[in-house]
Amino acid sequence: MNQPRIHLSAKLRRGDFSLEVDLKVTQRVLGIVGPSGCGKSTLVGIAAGLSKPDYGELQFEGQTWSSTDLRQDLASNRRQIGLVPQDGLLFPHLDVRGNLVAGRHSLTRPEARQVEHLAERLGIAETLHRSVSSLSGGQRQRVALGRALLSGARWLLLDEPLGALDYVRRRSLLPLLRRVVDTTDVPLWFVSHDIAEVKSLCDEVIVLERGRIVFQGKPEDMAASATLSRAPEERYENLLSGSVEQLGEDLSSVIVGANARIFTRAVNVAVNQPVFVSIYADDIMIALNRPIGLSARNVLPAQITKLPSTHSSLVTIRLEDGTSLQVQLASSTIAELELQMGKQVYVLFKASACRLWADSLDLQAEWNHL
Amino acid sequence: MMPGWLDIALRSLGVSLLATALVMMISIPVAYVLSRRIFLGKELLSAILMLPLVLPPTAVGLMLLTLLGSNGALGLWGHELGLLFTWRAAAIASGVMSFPLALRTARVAFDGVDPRLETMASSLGYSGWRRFMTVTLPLARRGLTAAAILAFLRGLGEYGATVMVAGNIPGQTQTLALAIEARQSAGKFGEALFYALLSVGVGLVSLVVAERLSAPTRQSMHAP
Repeated sequence: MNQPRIHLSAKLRRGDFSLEVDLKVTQRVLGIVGPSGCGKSTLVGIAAGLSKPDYGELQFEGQTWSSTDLRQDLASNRRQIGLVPQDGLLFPHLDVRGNLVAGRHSLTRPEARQVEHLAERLGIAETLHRSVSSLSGGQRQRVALGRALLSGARWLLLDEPLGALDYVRRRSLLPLLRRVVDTTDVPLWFVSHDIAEVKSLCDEVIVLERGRIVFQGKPEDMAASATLSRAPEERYENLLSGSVEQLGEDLSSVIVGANARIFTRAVNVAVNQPVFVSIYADDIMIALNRPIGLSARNVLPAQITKLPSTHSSLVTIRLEDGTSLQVQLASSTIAELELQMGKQVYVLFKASACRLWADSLDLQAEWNHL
Repeated sequence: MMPGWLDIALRSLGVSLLATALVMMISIPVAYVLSRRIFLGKELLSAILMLPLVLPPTAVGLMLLTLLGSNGALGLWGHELGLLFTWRAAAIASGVMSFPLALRTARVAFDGVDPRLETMASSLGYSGWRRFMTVTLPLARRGLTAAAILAFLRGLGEYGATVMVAGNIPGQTQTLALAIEARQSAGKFGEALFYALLSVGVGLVSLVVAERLSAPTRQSMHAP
């Protein structure tokens, strides 16, 4: 067992709401999911030192940051937290550049160039001298993200950073978040109510319900957890992080996970560009033998790793490279095909069932870096 | 033209400017504390601080006179500084009279600053002082300007409390408001009218300048 990077225990009562957690996190990127009002933001507030638990302790990478027992509390301004809230919370009296560097005391010339570079990577280079009130929701979140990254944070706390955006904007910002996850090496906690998002970005997940942790583990084990009550009409979305391999006339290929090739419809993106592929669980079929003469472009060998619990109709399968997918199957189908844990199967889905998400605003910057 | 009219007009402006400076120095920290903190007796304190607004100015003047007089609580200090019956006493009197207006306006200004922005500043490493100077104060800027303008304009017309602590000494403490009364009671109705008209002029110019100062900046015009 690894030494936990972060150990946060807290008890807090505010009126009807109570939070009681004892959380040991060994992985760098932690996802925190749960319904609204379950205490996700309170947990982040305690981590950042902005709200005080009635009782608790916080150990960050071997250091005690706060402890009600020891009457110790590191002030929030000394914790070096990079906080990205849902609405960005940009400073309205500063322009975009002023906001980006708000976490710096001073800037050397190379650091100033770094600001320009980051702004370019974030797709906000054109807006540097604009007032933040003129930005769109997606742009505001990019600035908030940039501010947190530039502040030299030792711990990134992303509290529903995409929560205020519509579905399309949320998905197109995912590749950017992926890159933030990949290019940083500090602990990163990512709060979201979007299970697919968390699964695609995090190494470890906790599920909070009414102030209690009801699940902690690997993201691929999460969807099968009965406690995650989704609306029955909601379609489960598989989100796979990858990069574009080839662009064709009518088909493109994307490499996701370690080495799984997925064919999608031709799209207007660049080769090697980081993308996310979204496939709905009910768009995927299962075959016991490799089918021949089929119109579906994606036929991938896989293994069943989890059968649905009573509250779910999602079967978890693992592709050869280790990538996990959720497939929605009726229980009668599962019985008829005699699906069992460990059984070898083939998953099938059409190229047109795959939606490709790229960071559209960032496209120009990406081209420049090729 | 009346001899000494410029002197009187300038004294009026000077008294009011000094009063405004004093008022803002006190009302900014007090308003911030009232806006952000919860403590026992906060409502009572707020009420006491608003008193000059509802009391007769002469009552305030009398209290100041008692406080600053040689037997008063601040008497020794007032005596040593030679405060009473000087133009500085006039500034203190009009400052006390305009304090509630400035305080109330400044408090509304601080109430309008999202405390979560201050929280964000803390998480970015800002100390309390830096946070106040670089986030809170700039964001409350327009409201605080309005508070200062109100204090200044209210101070310009102050009469009741001023006459109690500063007297009505021509060439020393006589402001426009005092000059009108002095001329009128001496039966010089024409001169009184001249000073009244001069007050209109000074007041109008001040109002126009104040309007300029409090106009939204180009940047904040973009705000939704």
